[in-house]
Amino acid sequence: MNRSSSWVHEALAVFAKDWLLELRTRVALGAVVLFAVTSVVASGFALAPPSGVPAEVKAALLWVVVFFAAVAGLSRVFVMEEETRTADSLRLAVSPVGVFVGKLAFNTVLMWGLCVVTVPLYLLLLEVPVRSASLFLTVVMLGSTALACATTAVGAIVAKATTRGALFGVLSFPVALPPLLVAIHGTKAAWLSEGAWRVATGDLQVLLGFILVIVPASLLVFEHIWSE
Amino acid sequence: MNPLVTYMITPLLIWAGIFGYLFWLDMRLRALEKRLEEEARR
Amino acid sequence: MSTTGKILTGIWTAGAIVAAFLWLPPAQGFRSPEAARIVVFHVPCAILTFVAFLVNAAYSWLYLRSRHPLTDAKANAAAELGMLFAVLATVTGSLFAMEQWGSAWNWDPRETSIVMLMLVYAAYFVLRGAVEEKSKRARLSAAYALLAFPAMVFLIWILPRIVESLHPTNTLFSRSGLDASYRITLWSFFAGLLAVFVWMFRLRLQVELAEARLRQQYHRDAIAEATLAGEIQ
Repeated sequence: MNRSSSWVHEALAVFAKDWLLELRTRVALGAVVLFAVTSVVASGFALAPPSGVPAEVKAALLWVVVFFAAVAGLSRVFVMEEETRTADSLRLAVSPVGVFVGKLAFNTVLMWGLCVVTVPLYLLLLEVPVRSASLFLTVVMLGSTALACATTAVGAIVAKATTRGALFGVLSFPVALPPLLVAIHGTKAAWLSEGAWRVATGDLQVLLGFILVIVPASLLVFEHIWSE
Repeated sequence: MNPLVTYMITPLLIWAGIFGYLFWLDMRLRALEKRLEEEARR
Repeated sequence: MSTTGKILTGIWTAGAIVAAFLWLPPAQGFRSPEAARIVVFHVPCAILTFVAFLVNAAYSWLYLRSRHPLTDAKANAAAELGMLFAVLATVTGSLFAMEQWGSAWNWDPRETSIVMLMLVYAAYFVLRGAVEEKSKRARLSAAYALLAFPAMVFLIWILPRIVESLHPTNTLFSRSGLDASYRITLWSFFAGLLAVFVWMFRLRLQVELAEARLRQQYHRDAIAEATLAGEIQ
């Protein structure tokens, strides 16, 4: 096996192991989904149609819900390794690149799962008129992926800190803000604009560009976070 | 008198304060370093 | 920096302040031409905030390569100064915004980006406070600074595409903008402030070194006392 394919295998192994553990305990999934559903229902109560809240506000609120739900669960993959003291054996068995890519893939899938549950519920409860479903789907996909990419390395940092508390939210907000803003912008376009794809092309490019910048940057520093 | 001269006094006073404070810190630090060195030699 | 250099910095900066009030003509084209003088103080603070952010990222990167504790102290000092100048830039900016646009806060892209910079610094300090072990703290905070850096570059780049800016974009560098005397005074004040920045940076490092020395001496004294006590018994 050559070197380039070995980290792919390692990443796949980490990914499979994490999901197996997650499906057994459902800690991250439970935290993320429950948080999201609760906040969607709460906002549904407050902002359901007769309230006359404009769709712009609803677009922003959707991403605020998604972001805070992510904060509730995305640091779990690294915190879990430290809490169960399995980090050391993982360090010995798998290269840092393999670990990071595996955990990133886990978080990305977790985010997608979160969106699959939250977004339809949100649309249903808040009665948002979606003009371009295809664009909206693309924005949600790219946006949630970008959020996972932005926060995974931050999760690794938080897992190493002595006092974790609310650290993850505080640290990930500045890093996650660019994709968050752009996703809100793109969502507004998909819901409201004529010729939405044309309006939102720039947003999609920025989201993609952000992913392409933050992942290599995370890989670069991850080695220093992960190794003792 | 030009009213601008009156306005100018505030930033100048603030700057004098900052400058004086930095200078004072500088001297305190130098004294501390000297004392530390002397104690280390003993 | 020598003592003469420091005194010269003091005189130079005071001179720039005097020039801003007495030499500069009122800036035409602003709502209150006399108040526009604050630009001379505001813009250098804003530039220094970004300089500090760059310095912090650079030292963070160097720290990860060298693992030298002093490099970490430098990164931290740059972040502290960055926070200080961010506050100064925000305060002077808000004062002028009140005069010029009628409200102290407008969610203008530059206002937003400087608040985000402050948030990054705040998060950086929170992180440093949350890790006790020194080398670990240095490692994690350097990693965080390097993660936040591309995110901030992105943010500063995308914000103007999403929201309209109230700030002029090229008055500082183009000839069509403000009077040349403004540019001269502004950059003179910037030079003075930069010297102050360097001075404070060094002071901060000296404090760090003195603290380390004190700790060392304290340790040595404690050990000496313990051995002495052992010998007596």
